[in-house]
Amino acid sequence: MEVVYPTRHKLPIILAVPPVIRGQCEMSPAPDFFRRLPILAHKEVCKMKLIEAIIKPFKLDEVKDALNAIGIEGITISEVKGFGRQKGHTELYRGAEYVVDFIPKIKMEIAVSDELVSKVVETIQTSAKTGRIGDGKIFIINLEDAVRIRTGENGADAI
Amino acid sequence: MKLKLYLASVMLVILAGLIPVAAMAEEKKEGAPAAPAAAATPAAATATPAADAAKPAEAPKPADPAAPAAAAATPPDVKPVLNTGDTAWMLVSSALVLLMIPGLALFYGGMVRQKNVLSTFMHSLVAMGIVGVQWAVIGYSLSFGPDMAKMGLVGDFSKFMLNGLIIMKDAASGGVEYALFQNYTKEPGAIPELVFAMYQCMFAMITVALISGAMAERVKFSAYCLFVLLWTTLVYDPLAHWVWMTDGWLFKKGALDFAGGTVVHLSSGISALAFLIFLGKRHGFPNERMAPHNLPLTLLGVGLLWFGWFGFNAGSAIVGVNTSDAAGGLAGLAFATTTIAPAAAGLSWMFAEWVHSGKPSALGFGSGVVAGLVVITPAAGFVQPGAALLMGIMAGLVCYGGILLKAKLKYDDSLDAFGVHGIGGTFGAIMTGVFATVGATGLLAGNFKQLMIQLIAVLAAGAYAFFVTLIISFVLEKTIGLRVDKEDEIMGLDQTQHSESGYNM
Repeated sequence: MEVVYPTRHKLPIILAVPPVIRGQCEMSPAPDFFRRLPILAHKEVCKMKLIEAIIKPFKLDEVKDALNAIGIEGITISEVKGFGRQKGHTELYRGAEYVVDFIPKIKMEIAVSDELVSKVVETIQTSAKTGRIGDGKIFIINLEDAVRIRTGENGADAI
Repeated sequence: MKLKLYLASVMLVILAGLIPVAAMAEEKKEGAPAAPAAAATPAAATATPAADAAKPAEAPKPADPAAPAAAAATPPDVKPVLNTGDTAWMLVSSALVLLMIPGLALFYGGMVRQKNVLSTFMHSLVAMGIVGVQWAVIGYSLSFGPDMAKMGLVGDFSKFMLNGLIIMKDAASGGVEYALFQNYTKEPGAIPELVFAMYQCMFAMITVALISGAMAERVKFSAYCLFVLLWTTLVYDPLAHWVWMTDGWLFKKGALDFAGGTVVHLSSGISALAFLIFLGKRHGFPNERMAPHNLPLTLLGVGLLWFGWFGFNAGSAIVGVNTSDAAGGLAGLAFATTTIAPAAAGLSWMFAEWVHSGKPSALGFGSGVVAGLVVITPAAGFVQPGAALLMGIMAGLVCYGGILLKAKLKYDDSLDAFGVHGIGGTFGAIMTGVFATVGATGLLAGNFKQLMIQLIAVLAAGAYAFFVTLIISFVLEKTIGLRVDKEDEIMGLDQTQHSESGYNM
């Protein structure tokens, strides 16, 4: 069976099929006009945020442990390169000088429900901080929905 | 500012070596023009030191075809007798020198970008293939065969297919006798000429592979293969004949080259420079980042090169003067200098870099070790350990200056074949004329002439290698082209030349 989650931007292809399991999200605050359509009656808005933190690689373990301690169960990380105020460095090979603009960093992605956001941000900020330039940044992004692939749960249940 | 100071001090060192040249300029004028043409005449050999004192009188005599190679020009005073100890050491030495080639592949392979690692390895490995075949067919004969036309320039074709190294005594029973190579005719010690031929084969293989360092990351594989064949035949073989063969004109002049400073390092370094004239820079050089992709490979290569170099230098006691022992005291001396000089050179390069650019780099130390090995090569069996130490220290500084010069002049010798081997080989060959005290005398032992002879050898070999390489690369450029297309170069030679990639992880 195919399940399609309607969104505001994309019209569902199979209109008749509602989400199988409903999460704890509140009902959509969509205007009444749209809610009269049967499919959009099921539309939910999940109060979740995606927290994206760019940190120094050597701080990864510390941040992970701190997040575990406050009950965060899922973290995705990737090795990234970039630069901000902390400029790159130079490398010298037999007199040939190369400027390395992009410095290796770790990007963490954590999806959390709204009430946890401030705690998570605070935890990352304290555990990733060295006080020196190049400590990184935290971005907080609205998250529309989430699905657990194994069970099909969605919304805050899935994270 | 620091760079200027540094270059100034390098120039001083070089100048110090050149002062005697100026002093003897007149003599040089007599010697140099006459040298190539008149080499075969006894008159040209007047500068020869005591080691070859007997030669001028004997040189014009026709070679005895039945005599072993080295003894072709000089009838043996003592009959050669097989020395099994020497033979065992030379067999091991040959294998050690062979191991330097994969070592060189690692050394160079680590320094290129990831997309070119296999092609750079192949440059070294395919040289083993091409030269291994070329040497058996014609190379050995051209290098160590009896002199062609008595000019001291190149061997003849009499040892085509290693002919004559095995003598069939009795065809019916398969009984054979092995031709012996006797270096020093006053002593009986000799090894089978086959062993000597294979030992020299390894030298020919690695020499042409050294040049590939300048062409890395852009040369077309087909052009490279042809270059290997042509260069070995037209440049290496004659040079080996000049310097190491008793008929060779530089040998008769008394030029000292213990293990190949002129023949191997100077010739390959200068040729790299000549080839670059037609090859040109890599696309994106020098602005694009072309940092080494795997320095641990390079440093492993340094280790293998040093290890193999003991065969290269200590094994070369087989052609040492005044002794027939390949595995004796002279080999021990070469072994010691081959330990001391690279150690000192690694340190001096490291400290130079530390002072000049702030950090002691791993690549710098490794490059210094190789520079030390290159510089001590022509001198290995001629100098005392103290001189080896000095030469090592200077090697690191001079070659570091060489690569800085490259960085400043912005010619694209990708892996510093010229900066390390060209400059190091030249410097080593000249310094041999300064520091030689064992079996020959140099400037410090009061022999001005030796330095002159070294300079003539350096100039002649350098000029010959440069111009012939220029012709070879010109012809290849006009026929099949030296470079891959720009697009292929950007994609990487591994993909476009070999349809492989070095790392599938």
